[in-house]
Amino acid sequence: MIDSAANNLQGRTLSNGWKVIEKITKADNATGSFFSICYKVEKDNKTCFLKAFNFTPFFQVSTQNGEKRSVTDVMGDMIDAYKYERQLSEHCKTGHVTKVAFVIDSGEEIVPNFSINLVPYLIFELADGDVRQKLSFSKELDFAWKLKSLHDVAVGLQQLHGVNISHQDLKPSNILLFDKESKIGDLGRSMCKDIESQYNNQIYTGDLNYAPPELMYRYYEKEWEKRVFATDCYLLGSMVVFYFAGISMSALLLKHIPDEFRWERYGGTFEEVKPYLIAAFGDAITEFANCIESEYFRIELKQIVEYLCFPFPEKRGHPKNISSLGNSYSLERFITKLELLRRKAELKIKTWQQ
Amino acid sequence: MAAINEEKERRVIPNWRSFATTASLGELNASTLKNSYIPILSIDSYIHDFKNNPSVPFAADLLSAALVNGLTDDKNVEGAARFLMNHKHEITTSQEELANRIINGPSASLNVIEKITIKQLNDCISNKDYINRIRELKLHLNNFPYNSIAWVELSRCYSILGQERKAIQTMKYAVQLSPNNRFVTRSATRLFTHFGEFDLAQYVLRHCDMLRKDPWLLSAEVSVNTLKGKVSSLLKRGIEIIDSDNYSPFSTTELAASIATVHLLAGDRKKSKKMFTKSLISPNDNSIAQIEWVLNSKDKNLFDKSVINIETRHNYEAMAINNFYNNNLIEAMDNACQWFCDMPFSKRPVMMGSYIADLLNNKNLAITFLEKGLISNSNDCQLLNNIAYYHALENNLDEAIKYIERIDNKLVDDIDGICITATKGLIKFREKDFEKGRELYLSAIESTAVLRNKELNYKAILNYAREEIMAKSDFIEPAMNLINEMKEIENMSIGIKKLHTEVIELYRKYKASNM
Repeated sequence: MIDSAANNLQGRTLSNGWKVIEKITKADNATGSFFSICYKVEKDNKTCFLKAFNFTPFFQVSTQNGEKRSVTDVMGDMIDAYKYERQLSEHCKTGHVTKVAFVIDSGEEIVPNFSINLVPYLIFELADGDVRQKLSFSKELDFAWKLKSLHDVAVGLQQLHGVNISHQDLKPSNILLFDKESKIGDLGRSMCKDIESQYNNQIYTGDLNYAPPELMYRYYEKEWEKRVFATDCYLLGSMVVFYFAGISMSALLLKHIPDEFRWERYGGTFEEVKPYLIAAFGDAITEFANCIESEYFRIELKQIVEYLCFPFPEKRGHPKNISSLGNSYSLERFITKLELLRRKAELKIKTWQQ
Repeated sequence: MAAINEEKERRVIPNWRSFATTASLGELNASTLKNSYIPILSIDSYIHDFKNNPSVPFAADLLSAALVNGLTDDKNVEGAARFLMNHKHEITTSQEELANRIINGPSASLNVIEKITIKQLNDCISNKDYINRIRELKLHLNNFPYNSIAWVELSRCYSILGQERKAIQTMKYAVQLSPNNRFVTRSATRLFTHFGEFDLAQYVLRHCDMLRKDPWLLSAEVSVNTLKGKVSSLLKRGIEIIDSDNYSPFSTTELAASIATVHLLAGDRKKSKKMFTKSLISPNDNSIAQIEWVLNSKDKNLFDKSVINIETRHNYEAMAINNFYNNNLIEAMDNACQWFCDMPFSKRPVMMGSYIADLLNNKNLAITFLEKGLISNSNDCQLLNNIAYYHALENNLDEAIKYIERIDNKLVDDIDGICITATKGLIKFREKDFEKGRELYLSAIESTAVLRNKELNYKAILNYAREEIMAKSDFIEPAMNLINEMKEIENMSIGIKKLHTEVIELYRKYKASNM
C-alpha cells in the first residue's frame, strides 16, 4: 500500500497551492474512504481535508472473484469515480444543498518515481470529526444536541433527494461535525439519476453493515426512486437508533432474529421471512424505546424509527405520505418533528438550568 | 378408579412450541436445498477506528458491524465488548445487552427443558406465568398489531390456560395476517385439531399458497385428512416431494411419517415401512414419536427398533414412550415432565406422567401432575376423576369429594362414566358407607361387562376387591372369586398387573391375620 503515489503526498505542495500536512490514518478499506487516502492540507491559513484517489484497491478489485480486468479499465473506473464525486458536488451546489460536505477544490498531482504517478484528488472542508467522537449515551443533556444533529442530517438527506441524489451510505462515520453543525459526508457512493455513473445500475452501493433488511434478503424494488429513497429512509432511521440506543438498526434487528433466519443463513425468500422480520422489528423497537428515559421523547422517537425503519420498503416512510399521492419517502414530516423535539429538549435544558 | 387416556391411533399433527424453540429446531428453515450467498463483510475498518478512538460510540459501532456479519468471535470484537462493560455507566441497555451477548454467547434459555427433571415439576408451568405473558403480549400487540407471530404466541398462552374461544380467535387473527407462513399455519392446524375443529384446520391449510410446495404443510394436510377418516387428495404430491432430490430429508421427515401412517392404516405394510424408513433419515421429534407409537402398537414388528435415532432434539414424547415400555419408569417420568413443559396444553404427557407416578406408588406426584394438567383442561373429567381417585386412596376424602363434584356430567362419556362411578364407590367405602360403595362398584363392573371392555372390567373388579378386603367385609370371597376368574392377566397393561399383585398380596395378608 505504501508503494503508491497516493500514499506519498505528505510534505508536498500541490499544483493549486495546497500544502499536504499529514496523513489521516485509516484501515485498508476504512469506512468513508473507499479507494482513497486522506490527508490534512493547508492553504491561506485554512486547513482542509484531501481525498487522494488510490490505484491499488482498483487493482485488487480487478482480480476479485478470479475476474481479470485491464489496467486501463481499472484506471477508467478510478477517473470516473473521481469525476463523479466532483460532478455530484457541483450538482449539489447548484441545487442549494447546504448540509452536505462539498468538494471545495480538486486537481491532479504527478508524483515522480511511481509506475502510476498520477494522483487525482478532491479537497473538502475539514470536519472536527465524525459524530462518534461527540456522541455520549449517559447524559440527557445531550438530547438537544443529538436532535439538532439528526435534524441537520435529515435536512441534508432531503436536500440530496431534492436534486435526485440518494446518499446510500449514511452511517456514523459519514456524519461530520463542523462546529455546531452536522453535515453528511462522503458522496462517493451516492447514486444520482441525473449523472451517469457506474453506481446507477447497482442495487445498493453503501456499507452492507448498515443496509436495510430487504437488500440483505436479496429483495429490492425495481423502481429506482422507490428503492434508493426507501434505503435512505432506513439509513436515517438507523442513525436515530444509533444516536439513542448506541447500536445500528441492523444490529438491533438481528439481536431479535433467531439465528436460523439470519440473512446469510436463511435460504428462503424475503416474502417468507416477512412475518419473522416483523416480529423481530417489534421487539427491536421496544428495546430501542427502553433506551430513552423521558416518556415524551420515547414515544416520539420510537414512532419516527418505526416509520423510517419499517422492514418492508413499501411500508416505510410517514403513513400520511404513504396513503397520499406523491413521494412516500419524503422526509419533510420527520424534519419538522425532529425540529420540534429539538426545541422541546432545549426548553427542558433551560428549565433545568433555571 | 383411574381413567386412562390411551392414544389408540396417533397422527402426525404438527407440534406447537414457542416461536423461538420451533425456529431453533430448524422446522422453519427453507425446505428446498439452496444456499444463501450473502458474503461476510470485512470489519477491519471498524476495528481500526476503535483502536484509534477507544470510546463507547466506536466500540458500539464495531460491535454492531460484528453482529451483522456474525463475526462476534473475533478477539478485537470481544475486546470492544469488554471495553463497553468497563464503561457501564456510560452505555445504553442495548449496548450492554449486545456486549454481554458477545462475551457470553446468546442466551441458553432454549435448552432449559432438557435439564428439567420430575423434581422441578412443581415449579414449571404456572397460571401466573402465562397470565403475565398474556399481559405482555397484549401490550406488545397494541403497538404492533401486524405481528402475526405474537398473535400465535398469545393464542398458545390462551390454549395453555384452557381458554379455547380466545385461543381460536387470536389464532384466526394470526392466520389473517400471515396465511402463507409455515409457523402460523402449522400452529393453527395444531390448535384447531386440539379443539376438534378439523374443518377449520383443513380450511387454513387449503388456503395456504405454499401447501403444494411445502412438505411441512403437506404433512399436516395429510394428517388432518386422516383424522377426519379421509385420504388426502395431495398424497401423490407428497410422495413426489419425498422422491425428488429438491428437499432436505429433515424437511420431509414428517411428511414421510404422515404418508407411512396412511399406508399403515390401509394395511399396506410394505409401503408404510418404506416411508417410515425415509422418515428416519433425518427425523424430528414428531416423526420419531410416531414411529415409537407404531412400534408399541399391534404393528410392533414393522421394522427393527434399533434403527431409531432417539437423540433427536425435543424428543421427549418418544423417549417417554420408549423408556416406559423398557420399564425405565424414573426416566420415563422425567421425559413426561419434559414433554409436558414442552407442550403444556397437551393432556397426554399429564396422563402418562401421573400413570407412571402411580406405578411408582407416588400418589402425591400423580396428583401434582394431574393438577398441572388442569391448567389447560380445567373441566376435563378424566383429570378430575383421577385426582379424586388418588386423594381417596390417600384417605383425603374432602379433597376427593371436592374434585369429583367438579365433574360436569354433560362432558362424560360411557367409559369415563364408569371410572367416575367406581371412584365414587371408592370414596363411599373410605367413608365407611360400604353398602353404597359396593352398589356403585357393582354398577361400574356391570357397565364394563355391557361394554365388553375387558381391561376396564378387570380394573374395576380389582379396585372393588381391594376395598372389600380393606373393609374386612363379608363380600371378600365373592370379590376374590371374580379375580380368580380373570384370564391372561400377563397380557394386560402394567397397571392392571401391578394392581392384581397388590390385591392378591393384600388378600394373603388378610387371610394370614385371620388364621
